[in-house]
Amino acid sequence: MTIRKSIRVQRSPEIVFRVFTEEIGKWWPLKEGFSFGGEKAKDIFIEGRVGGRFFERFADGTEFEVGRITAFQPPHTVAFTWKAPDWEAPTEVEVKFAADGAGTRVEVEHRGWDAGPKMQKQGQGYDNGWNLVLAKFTARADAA
Amino acid sequence: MSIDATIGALADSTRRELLRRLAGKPCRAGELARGFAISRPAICKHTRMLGRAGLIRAKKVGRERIYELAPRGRLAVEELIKKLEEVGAFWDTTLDAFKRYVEENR
Repeated sequence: MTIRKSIRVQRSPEIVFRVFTEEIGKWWPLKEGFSFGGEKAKDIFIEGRVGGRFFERFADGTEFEVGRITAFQPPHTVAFTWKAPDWEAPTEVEVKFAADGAGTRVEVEHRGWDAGPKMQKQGQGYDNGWNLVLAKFTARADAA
Repeated sequence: MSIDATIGALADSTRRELLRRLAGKPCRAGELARGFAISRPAICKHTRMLGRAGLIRAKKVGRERIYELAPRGRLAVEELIKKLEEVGAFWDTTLDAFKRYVEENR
């Protein structure tokens, strides 16, 4: 199962790839809550080589490694692992950049949810909520 | 139950159809296996997998085997969908922020 998202950016793949990777700290919505540091959010980095780190540096100077770079092919592909602290295993993110007219199509695939966290919760019962849940799930799985 | 087992169980259209059939009401084994293009033993394999994932359970009533949804299955599936929706919304916001930054600054 895979989450897929894409967006078109009105600049060349070279520029778009460079901004996505080298300048990630300038645009990543850290201040909008997309940080593992919460209030401490300050900066985020992608090290431009396979094996490099994808990490956050917080206001107090401590760092959190989100994952490792698994592919780095400017201006086509960057991929990295992604693991929240409470997940048992990392997921994988692959970002592809393809020329699209005068712009660039950016495609994100976030996969590996079968390696995600264990959920040990107990249910209280079942009802026709299942129909809705399964309909939603099927739509998502079929789109994936 | 683990999310791994939930995802594995739901990653197949036959198993999703089996769950859909059981969503409304418990079902006899023979009735449950009816109308599929694949063989009865193949269906049994799928129901066993759903059982191992904790999503359905079987009970014996006389000589009949009745399948039904397991009580804790629904919550596991809902948790999974919620998580996938959260991550999807996360990427929507992130890509929007990226596009805005690039087009305003380059």
